[in-house]
Amino acid sequence: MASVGRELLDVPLPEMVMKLGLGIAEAQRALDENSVATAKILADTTIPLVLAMTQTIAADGTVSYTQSDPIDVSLMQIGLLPTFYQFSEATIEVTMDIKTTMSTETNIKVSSSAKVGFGCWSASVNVDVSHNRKFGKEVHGTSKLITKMVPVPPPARIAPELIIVDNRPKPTA
Amino acid sequence: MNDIYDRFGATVTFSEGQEGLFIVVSQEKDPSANIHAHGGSVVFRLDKGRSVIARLTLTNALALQKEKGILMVSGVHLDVQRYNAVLASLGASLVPPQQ
Repeated sequence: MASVGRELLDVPLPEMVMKLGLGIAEAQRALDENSVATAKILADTTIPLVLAMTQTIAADGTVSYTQSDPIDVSLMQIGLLPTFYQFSEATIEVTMDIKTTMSTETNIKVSSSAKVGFGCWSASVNVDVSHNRKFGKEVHGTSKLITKMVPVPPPARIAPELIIVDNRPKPTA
Repeated sequence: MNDIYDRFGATVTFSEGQEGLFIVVSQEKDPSANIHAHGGSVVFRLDKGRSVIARLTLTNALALQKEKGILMVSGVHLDVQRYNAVLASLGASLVPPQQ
């Protein structure tokens, strides 16, 4: 009969860990691909950026507006970046409920018979003994997989590096 | 996917967080109605209204992703430091945040 220790050893934990790991790797790849696709959309989409507006109130009280020429910038240029996610934790929890039962049943049947005839007689005693031992085992198991996903900063080189070269002459004091 | 975890008696839960920014790309029409139906709001429109940046919770964003005609719902965020640097480089004068 398998022991409780044997049952616990039979839990396919290495296989579960392997499948969880592969599942996470696959999910991580899908998440990264999605973030890269988003980055492409953000890099390809441009919006007109109006940097200045002037409101002029004339002497007669009429109000007019003028604006600077819009500059087309991509969404990524202005700092709209895809959110990258990462699996930070994975937990496998296995709970087992093992119940073993054993019962023994012994049946004894005794019978006797005798015969007499023509100066002879015979007698017999029959004993039947049956011995049954029954084993029962119930194993209930539940497993729980918990993964935790957190947003992480995008890769350092995903957005173009912004270098500002200011060649204006320095103001004199 | 619902079928898979239901068949095994499993439950999948997502802890509800705060609202975040998502880019929503629709196949044909403006996805604003779908976004409003999922409790979100449109922040600004792109690409003639077929794509928008919307504010949604994660669970609502995941639900929106399953809507017919929605091609993509993906998380984005604004790097404020970079935004300010770009504006400064283009000559915009930044207004300091009010106390």
